[in-house]
Amino acid sequence: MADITNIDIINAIRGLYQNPNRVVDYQAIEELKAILNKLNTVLSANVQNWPTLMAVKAEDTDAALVQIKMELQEIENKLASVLNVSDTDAQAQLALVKGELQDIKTRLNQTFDVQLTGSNDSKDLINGVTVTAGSSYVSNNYNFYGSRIGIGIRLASAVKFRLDVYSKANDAANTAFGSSRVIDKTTAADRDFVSYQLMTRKVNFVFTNTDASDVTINLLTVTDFMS
Amino acid sequence: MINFYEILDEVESGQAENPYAAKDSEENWIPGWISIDFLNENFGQYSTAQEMIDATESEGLKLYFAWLRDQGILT
Repeated sequence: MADITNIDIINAIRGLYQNPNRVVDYQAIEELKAILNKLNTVLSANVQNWPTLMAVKAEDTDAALVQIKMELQEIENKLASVLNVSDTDAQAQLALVKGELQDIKTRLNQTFDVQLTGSNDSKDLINGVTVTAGSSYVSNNYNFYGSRIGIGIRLASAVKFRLDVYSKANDAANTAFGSSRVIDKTTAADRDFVSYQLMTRKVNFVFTNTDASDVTINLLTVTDFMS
Repeated sequence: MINFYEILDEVESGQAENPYAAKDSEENWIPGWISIDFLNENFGQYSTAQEMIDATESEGLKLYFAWLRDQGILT
């Protein structure tokens, strides 16, 4: 029988078991890494027990080789077990996730007991916009969730002005159904506030400066009353 | 005398396009509308864009009248 070294045996074993590339299950890969770590520990322990890097007769290593083979068999069994269990676990986890997803979907189709009272949301929608004399500034579209909004406006100087609220469809074209004049100052003023019953969820605001001077909107704040 | 209803297109009832309707805090002009009645009441007595520009202190209106002149709508 040819002489072999302990390191030959260990390298052969390591080469055989350190190629987990064919395993695509990430959980199995993690398990496999743990097993390989254990394998390395086992082999290292054997290396320490032997006079490593010394040429020895094969028969000298037979007992140790049998021991390693037994341990390898145990590891192989564990590996097979991990791969099988991993698949089962994955299916169980998938079933669990599917069940939870179905629960969520079912819940979404039901009513929600949401406490909105006191959830009034106030936003500063326009600030620092100067509107040319005789001209109208058309704001962006905004979505509100209550049944009523409060609108407050402050101008940098007193002018005659109007404020219209346009009720919009919820389509991509933002189709306007109509408008309501909520403020109409025929004498110069630099502020006003008003309550408006929402007709649609989406609206925009048109500020018209009916004066002969330009004016700056310092702030237009809208409170969405959800109570 | 100019009747602005005769020279401007209405985009809304009584409103015409104005590329200088407003200006944001970063000095960017925002297009919007201008009241044709407002123009008739305040500038209908003039016949040229320059006369209208000279008659207003509004930065936006000065640019608007110059734009109407560039468009060939006013002389």
